[in-house]
Amino acid sequence: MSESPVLSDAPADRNESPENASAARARRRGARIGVGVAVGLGLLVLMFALAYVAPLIRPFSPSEVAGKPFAAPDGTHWLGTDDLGRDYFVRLCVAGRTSLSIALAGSVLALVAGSAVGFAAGVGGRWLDALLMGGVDLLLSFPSLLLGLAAVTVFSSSMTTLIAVLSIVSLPHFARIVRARCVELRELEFVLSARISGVRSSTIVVKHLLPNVFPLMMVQLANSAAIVILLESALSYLGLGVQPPTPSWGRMIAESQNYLTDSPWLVLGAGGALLLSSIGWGLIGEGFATSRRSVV
Amino acid sequence: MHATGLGPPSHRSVAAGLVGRAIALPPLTAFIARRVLRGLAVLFVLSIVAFGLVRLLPGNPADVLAGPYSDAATRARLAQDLGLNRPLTEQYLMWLGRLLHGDFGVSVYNGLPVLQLIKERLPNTLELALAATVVSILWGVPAGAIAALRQGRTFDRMARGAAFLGLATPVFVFGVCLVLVASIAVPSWPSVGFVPFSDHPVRNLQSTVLPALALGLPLGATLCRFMRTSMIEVYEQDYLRTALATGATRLQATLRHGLRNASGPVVTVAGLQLAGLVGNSILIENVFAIPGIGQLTVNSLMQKDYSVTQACILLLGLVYIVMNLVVDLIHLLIDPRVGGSR
Repeated sequence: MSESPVLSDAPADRNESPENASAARARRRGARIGVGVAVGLGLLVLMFALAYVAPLIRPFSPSEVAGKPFAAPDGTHWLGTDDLGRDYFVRLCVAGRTSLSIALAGSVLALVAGSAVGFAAGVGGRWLDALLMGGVDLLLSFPSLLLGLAAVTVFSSSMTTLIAVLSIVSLPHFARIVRARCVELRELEFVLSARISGVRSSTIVVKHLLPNVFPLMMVQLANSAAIVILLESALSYLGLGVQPPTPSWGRMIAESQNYLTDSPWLVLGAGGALLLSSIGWGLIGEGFATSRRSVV
Repeated sequence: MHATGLGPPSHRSVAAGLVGRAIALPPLTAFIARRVLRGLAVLFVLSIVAFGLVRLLPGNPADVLAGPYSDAATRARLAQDLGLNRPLTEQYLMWLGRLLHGDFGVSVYNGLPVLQLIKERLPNTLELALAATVVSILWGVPAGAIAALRQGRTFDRMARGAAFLGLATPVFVFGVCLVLVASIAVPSWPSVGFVPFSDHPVRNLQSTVLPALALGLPLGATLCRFMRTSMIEVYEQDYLRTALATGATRLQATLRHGLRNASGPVVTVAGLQLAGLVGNSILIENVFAIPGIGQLTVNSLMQKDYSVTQACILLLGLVYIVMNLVVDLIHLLIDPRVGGSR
């Protein structure tokens, strides 16, 4: 064999000068990231708007009977009515408030607590590091759904409990990511020189480490919001989420599953809303992660 | 001595490693021994957590057992019989001692031994988990490898899109949608409900198909992603370039050198995913009404059935720990460098 088949694989790149090629590739990639993040953001803005604005415009209440049970979707009831004759579209939107706010609050809380643990482990010396990371590993050695189930059963399923539980469950990922980056950074010259000049650890964390770890934290925030939304809906699917009369997507799916063949739009509506929100967060996380790789 | 980790790198750890190696067992044995010890330690902590968490639950099994119309004397006698009024440490030690003798207690809900309850349900969960794993590997690994081979092409984009969707979809919604599709496309298919293998093997396999797909397809998404990333990394290695330069085609080089080198991280992820399957199987067992360990765990939590919950938590934790150990060992088989470095 005289020619290697690989060389013929990328003739275009060979002709361009290396800088041009990589710049063009970066631009192409940048454009695609922009699209991903924009679509994700758009989806989330849409979901938040539906959750907080749509119920004010539509003339139905989420908890009052508005028509015959199991009415098919039409002009009056955009997504039909549920088994009790309540307008399903309005219920879906109001349920969105529960899921979206729990996801946001839970992951922001996890970000704050997890990053604190990560920084403490990253700069706090061997024993603190071993202790904190041991705890984090133990937390990871529980399936998070099981931990959520147990905690919700112990502390009743209020919104506060759910947010607390879900943030504790997603905290380890933040802690690990932040610690790993700190361990990398603390050997670099700018941190060492700050340390030699006698700057306190807390100042180093805030002024030198935090700005460098922040992009990673943001990526993880979007990723864990996607996971938290799924976990919350899973808990409420099992009947352990926020309790009725407050509607939630997971519970709506569980309730309408019994009428699957006759009124499939009930399950599809709630499932679709859930899927779109998790895709929204996922796209943002994905886009940030790729853009970070191309920048750094 | 550095009190904080911010100082220059210390040589203590290197010295400690040398000292450890001088008196230690052969590296492989030491590696395995360390892993087993760590697993046992986690299991011990897990047992304390399982015991403590369940004691925190509101309500008391004696009250549940005696019912809402019982008098105080009956409840007190029951609590006495169940050992509920002894010190917590004593209760824990008694419970642990019985566990070590294989006695997992009796369900306060239906009076059956916990071991029997678990034995009845474990095969169903294992069957589901095995089938789901097969499904996930069957699509995730080849899709990831081909996507890496055809990086940037249509197949790559489709595989990445599918993997993204698989990660974003809630498993129970996916399961419910599968039921919907199956009930429209093949109305005679047993979409919900479970038939034990011993009762009717064919029906059993039929009823496992949908849950396995619901559980396995999203699971394969992670595998697909890791396989793709791992393969792309391998393509940049010198030995692959050498293989290509010496006349191997891309496919030959992939099959001969790429797959084995790329599969290390994939095995790790696959093992962890299997352990994570525990959580998702709780949901899928609920969607398809399969009497398995996940359903037992949820029901026992709701019924405040302490001994069953404890046994389930320990069992699920044990599965997780054993899976981690097995993953480490398989990783060692694929890549012998692992044992020395840790």
